[in-house]
Amino acid sequence: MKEKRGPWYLFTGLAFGLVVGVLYSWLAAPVQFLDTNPAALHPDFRAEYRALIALAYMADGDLGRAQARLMLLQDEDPSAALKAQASRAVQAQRPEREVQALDALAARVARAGELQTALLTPAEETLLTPPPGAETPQDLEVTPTPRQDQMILTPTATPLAAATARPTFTPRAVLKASFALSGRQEVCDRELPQGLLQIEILDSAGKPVAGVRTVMAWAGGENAFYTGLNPRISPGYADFQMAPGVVYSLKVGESGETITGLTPHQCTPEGTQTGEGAAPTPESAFWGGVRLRFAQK
Amino acid sequence: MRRPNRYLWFAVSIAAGLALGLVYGWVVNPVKYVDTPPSNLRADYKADYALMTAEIYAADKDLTLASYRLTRLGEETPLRAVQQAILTGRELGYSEDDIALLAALAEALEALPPTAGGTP
Repeated sequence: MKEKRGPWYLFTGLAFGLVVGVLYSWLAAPVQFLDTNPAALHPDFRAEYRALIALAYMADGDLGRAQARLMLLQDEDPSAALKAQASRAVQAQRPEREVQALDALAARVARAGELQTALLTPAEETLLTPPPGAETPQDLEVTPTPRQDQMILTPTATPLAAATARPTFTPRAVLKASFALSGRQEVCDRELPQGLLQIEILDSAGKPVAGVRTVMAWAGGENAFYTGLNPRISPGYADFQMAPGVVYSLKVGESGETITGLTPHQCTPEGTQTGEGAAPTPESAFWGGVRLRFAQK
Repeated sequence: MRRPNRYLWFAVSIAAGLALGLVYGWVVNPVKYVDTPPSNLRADYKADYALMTAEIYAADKDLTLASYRLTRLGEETPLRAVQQAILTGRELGYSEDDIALLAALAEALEALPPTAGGTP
């Protein structure tokens, strides 16, 4: 007897595979969204974000910036969302300043919206056209409309979506360059924090370089930091607070040399160093720091 | 001769179904994360978040509140969050005024008691 079966087993296999595939992609290994935008925030965090925008607006008074930030939350009506949050903030007994900021920004955004609407609607034409029977001022100078060839055409800049632009971390070539120690100075300066390690990194042209990763390691730990975080001093500057009695090693950049044996040393009030290790007497001595300068090879 | 063919085609159909299921679950209709925390924000949004915090700090000088806000960004420390924002801000061409605001907040956070081992 010949067994006769149709192609149903294929559909069974397909359905089985489909179910397993969907379950795997949804439950076992779902798509990870690490780089989300503010619109995807949890409602509580959205409210915090909105409050931050309002408080920042109160601080800097920059309406354009506040509006650009509000757009990121993708509220249908930002002004209404701000007002609603202000009401909720009152009920939740949030700080008065936050409520005021939300209210103020809501009012300002609403007013800006009204103004924009007024400018875009043809209502202004009716306002400018004199009503029938009205007297036309005789002393008004009639300015002829310039022909197109008399006009100076200026391109209208397309507004850039700066707030939503994805950052492109194009590593500058110099960041991968290697740096060598070009100067070392023991510092005894009471004006500086005790045990301060100061680093300055320069490129081959002698200009300070920001964003260079440096790693400070000691027995039991390490800490990475970058130059450029103290722009008031120099874009190529970074510092690190060393603890007395701890010996550190420092690596600058990805392939730079490692400087070992860095530790605070004792300084006398006259500014001379007296040694390492033992604690300075409180009245007379203090912990000095080190200043290192690196240059691109 | 007929039976092995059936098994083969059955396996092929399962694989095809699996592939379709993965495409559906990862591409066509992936899991949507709508309730994410600020720590999942993209780097430029995190930098702007830190900048807002710095703007507010410049006005109210409330370092505790600024520090609390920065913890939302999920960095190791609030100071690290600001430092990261400075680097991102430089990459994105933030104005010097904005960088200065962030730097002022970083300086204030640096002045807080240091952690064990040293502080950058």
